[in-house]
Amino acid sequence: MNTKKINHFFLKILVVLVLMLTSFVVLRHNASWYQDSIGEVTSVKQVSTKTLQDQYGNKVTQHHQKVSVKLLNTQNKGKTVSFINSYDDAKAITQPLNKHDQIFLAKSSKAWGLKNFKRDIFWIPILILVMGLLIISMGKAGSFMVLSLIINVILFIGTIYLNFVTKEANIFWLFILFSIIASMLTLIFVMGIKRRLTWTVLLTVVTSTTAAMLIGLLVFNITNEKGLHFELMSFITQLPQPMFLSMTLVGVLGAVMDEATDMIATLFSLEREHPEIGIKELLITGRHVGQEIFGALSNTLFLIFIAEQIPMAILYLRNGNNWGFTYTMNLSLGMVQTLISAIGIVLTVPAGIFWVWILHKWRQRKMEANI
Amino acid sequence: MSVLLMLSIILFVLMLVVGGVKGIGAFISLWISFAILVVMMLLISFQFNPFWVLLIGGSCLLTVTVLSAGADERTTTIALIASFLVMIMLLIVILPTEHLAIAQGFAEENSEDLEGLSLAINIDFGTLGIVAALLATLGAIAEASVAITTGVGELLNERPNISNRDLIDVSQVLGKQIIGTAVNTVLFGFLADFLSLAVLFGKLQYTFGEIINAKLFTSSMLSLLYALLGVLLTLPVTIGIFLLYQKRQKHHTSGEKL
Repeated sequence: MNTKKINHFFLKILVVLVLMLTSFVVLRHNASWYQDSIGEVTSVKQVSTKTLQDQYGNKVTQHHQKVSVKLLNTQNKGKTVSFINSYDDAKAITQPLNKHDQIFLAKSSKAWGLKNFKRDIFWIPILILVMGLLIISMGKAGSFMVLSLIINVILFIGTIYLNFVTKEANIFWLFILFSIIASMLTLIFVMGIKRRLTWTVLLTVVTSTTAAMLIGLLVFNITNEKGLHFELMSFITQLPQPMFLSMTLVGVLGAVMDEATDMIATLFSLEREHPEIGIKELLITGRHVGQEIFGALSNTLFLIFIAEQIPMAILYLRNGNNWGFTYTMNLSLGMVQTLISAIGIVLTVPAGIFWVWILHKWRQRKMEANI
Repeated sequence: MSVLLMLSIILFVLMLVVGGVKGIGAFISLWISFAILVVMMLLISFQFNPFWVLLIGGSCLLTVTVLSAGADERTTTIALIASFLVMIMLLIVILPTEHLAIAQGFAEENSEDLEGLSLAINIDFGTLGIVAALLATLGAIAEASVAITTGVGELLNERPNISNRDLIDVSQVLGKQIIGTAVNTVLFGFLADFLSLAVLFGKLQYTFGEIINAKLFTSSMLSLLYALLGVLLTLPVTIGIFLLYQKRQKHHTSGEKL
């Protein structure tokens, strides 16, 4: 039976690998699905190189290459065009082209040029791999998880869309709505709709995130937002402060759900073993579970929020900026986001204990009334 | 008083009140992580080899995160070994993928941020992309690994004579719950990172095809996928290390008896 189980496992892995390969092949040959021109590089020839130097001691080699590209779609299909592609060794925004690369092309006046790479070829197979492994290793729970991931992403896109429909009225309110619906659905998917655990965790999540956001807003008000530079956020097209608050709210949600689920599940099992449990025992156990987890969770969010900024920070440092300026420009908002999130993560412990206690009392009273 | 300072004080007081001495440990671990990142960035900008900085700094970050849980020696040892192994495994996946997907550095959407900066610096942004992608996953890996080891350890304390087969089965059930919630931590963390970019894509009325091929979208998506993969790998690796550790302990004690 054991060998059968193992064979079964390898069969599933094989299915995932076949799906990955299939998606790769399909994405290499789906140029006709696109309206923009796509071409495949047929030949590359190095034309010239030269060394660039700036006043900060950066020395880079710049390359020019002549590339021929065969068009794969639109009415120009089959035509071969060629152009010069320039790139440098830092590859911050420019890229060398290699034979067989598939790229999007843009035509300006007469000449063709590189517009973008066709990148779906690479990430979609990885997506299939990760989702496949999730389902294989977690069984039915894994399928539910994939489903809840998909639903959360759809909700997220829907919220962004609503932001435009409502003429960017207030993105923060929309994301508050998103947070409530998303956490409700996620918890129902993980634990079921009828369980007391689901609703206790939801109450806790709402309480602690609300409290953390209020503390954040209060601090912004008291300090007059000293040291905060919302205008430095990347990709900002509308009022930055509501945007920042939305990011903070969404970011902390998963971590708080994670912690609240762990803690409240432990408290419930304690309550089952000792129905006459008092607030003191709940406090001790709740604190114990919380202590173990809140440092690690704060670090998790910190690394997710900050890691993304590393390339930009290093670019600043290599451009002769000092550390203080680099920090302010690139990392300070991420730190504030981390701190508000960490406050939410810590507050989850008392919030969870509070709700377990209240619901415990309420159930006791109901039972006494029945007797 | 600046926002950062005031929030830090509030966090410190809350962690102290809720977590006691261990709470202070959590607070300090956050700032140690920050210091490690600062040193890593400075070293890379001074042109130390980014891969060595990544491996050493990454190991330090894993250690700090694992230690912040304040667990016993067995848990700490196992969680550290397991999370370090997962980090290496992820690096093996990230290296070729980042190389192929060419999603490093910046795109035209960044042009406002890049004004006045010289992009031709001595450091390869491909490598920086790998550094950023791997670092973002480390917290989640360490957290999941500690949670799984603690859970399995408690189980073993309650039933010391459990067979290996049963231990694997029970810890799988337990691990699935931990992985399930950790996946959400990672997903929402990355959705938050992606939020402003998503609004920009909407504003610029990108088509579906443009979005799924955009450099910044691809790099965010891949970072999320690596982190999910890391969390998933943590379960079998942690259980494996746990069993090996048990086996060695048993040998050790039986050797002593003889």
